[in-house]
Amino acid sequence: MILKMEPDAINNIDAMYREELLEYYHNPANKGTIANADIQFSDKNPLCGDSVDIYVKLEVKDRIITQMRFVGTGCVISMASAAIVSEYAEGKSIDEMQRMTREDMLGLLGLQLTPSRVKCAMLALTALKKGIVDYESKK
Amino acid sequence: MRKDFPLFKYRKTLHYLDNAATTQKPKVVIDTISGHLSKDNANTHRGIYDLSEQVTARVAASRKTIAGFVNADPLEIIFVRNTTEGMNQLANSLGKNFAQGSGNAGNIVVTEIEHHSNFVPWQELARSKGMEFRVARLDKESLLLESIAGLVDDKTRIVSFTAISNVTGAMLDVKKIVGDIRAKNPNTIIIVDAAQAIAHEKVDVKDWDVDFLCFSMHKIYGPLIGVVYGKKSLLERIHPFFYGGNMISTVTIEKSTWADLPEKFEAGTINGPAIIASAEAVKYLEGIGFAKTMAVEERLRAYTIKQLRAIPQVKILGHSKVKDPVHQITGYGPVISFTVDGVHPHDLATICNKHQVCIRAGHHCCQPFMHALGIAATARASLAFYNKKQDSDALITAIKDAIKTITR
Repeated sequence: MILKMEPDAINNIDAMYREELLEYYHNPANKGTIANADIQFSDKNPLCGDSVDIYVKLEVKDRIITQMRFVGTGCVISMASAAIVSEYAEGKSIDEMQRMTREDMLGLLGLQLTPSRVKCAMLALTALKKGIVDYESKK
Repeated sequence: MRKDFPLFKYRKTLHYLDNAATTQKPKVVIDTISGHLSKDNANTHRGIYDLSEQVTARVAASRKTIAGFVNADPLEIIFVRNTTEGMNQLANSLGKNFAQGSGNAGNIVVTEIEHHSNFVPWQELARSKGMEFRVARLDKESLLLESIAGLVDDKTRIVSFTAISNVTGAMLDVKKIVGDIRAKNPNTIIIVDAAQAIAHEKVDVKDWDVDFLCFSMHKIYGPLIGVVYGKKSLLERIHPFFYGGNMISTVTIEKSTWADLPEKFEAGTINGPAIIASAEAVKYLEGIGFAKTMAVEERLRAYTIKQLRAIPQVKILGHSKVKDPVHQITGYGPVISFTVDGVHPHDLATICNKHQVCIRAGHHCCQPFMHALGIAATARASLAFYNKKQDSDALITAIKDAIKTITR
């Protein structure tokens, strides 16, 4: 589910705090943990205290993410992004998620952001990527 | 007063409440720099020609003005890049006199509320020399500090602490703390971080009896340079900060000798225009009357606190009446950190931006302070005498908007 990109909307505050994103913030899809997760990773932005733990269950042979969950604390952008990317990741391969760019992430959110807020948006995806690297190295 | 600051003419609707980060500049400061570069530019100390002699004289006069502002001798004023550089230079220079030790190398004392620039250099110095690093702890309920002098003993080589906290605006009784430290150990070197204090209280290095003190001109309506004050007798004894041109007396293949104060600590070409403009900032402030600007700031601080207190979700750090049993914290200056229930500081700052309110959100380069409080970040509004009630009102409107937009 890709949200539509707002034109000329760098840090467009109305776009950032629109109802869809606030809904993800207050009622996050995929909030929770996974016991016996195949991938588990914690990451934080020490500058502001946004932090996230991600959990992933894989269908191992085809390296497909069957389940992704997260828990965390942080601003609207970081938490809504974590919820959105968790939803998006399910059914995708870990290679596909590893290839996902900053632009892809902002496209999912339907936002353009200045560098300081991009970090918030990327927190969960970055944690997932680091978790994937971790998982690959252990195999 | 506000009309003297060109930025507010260009940005009529801006509510600038981030003065602890940097301050706006009066026209006279800006014009001095561009005027100097347009009409009077030459290097100091180098030339015998008129232009160079004039610049040298202006820099010397400027040094005297800035020295007078903190009650120092001009020879005791060293120009550096900023407070951070000042602290690092002091740590390097003083550290050269500390032998590598283990166990018995002595200790360095700082507080838990220090800005990283007055925490990490000392932490690193202690680590590299095998010294003990002692930190006066914060009580998270009272926001008071453990006695700094209480951590001092006969092995304490350095104590460094802030005069005003850049997080809460807490004001420390520097004179009293210095006296208490000297009673415990007359040889301890005492350093004060005056980065926030310089604009918001009278800094008097003689009255305070500090050994070294650092501040930044850009936080007191001046350009981007910093100042290190040091007692003449100490500056004469410690190692130079940098080596090279201007700070030498003689240079041979065998050895080099150093220049007198203050050149000993100012290697290379110094930022002449910025120094001259800095003196103009001091003169501008003294022209209005420093007591007057402090009074304006205090009224605005009180007004802002009253308004913030009226919002139930807002929690202010400090700014209530102080009863400090160890008599270190005496009150609060115009720096206000607060949190808003249900609104992350990042989101608050973003929605403030929508209202053209400039505040800062984060740990304010004070991670140990945040950790002691058990939080990751706060929002911070910091005032200067050119702020108006409307700036505070805009902050309140923005906070209420953030609460309405984000919380459910």
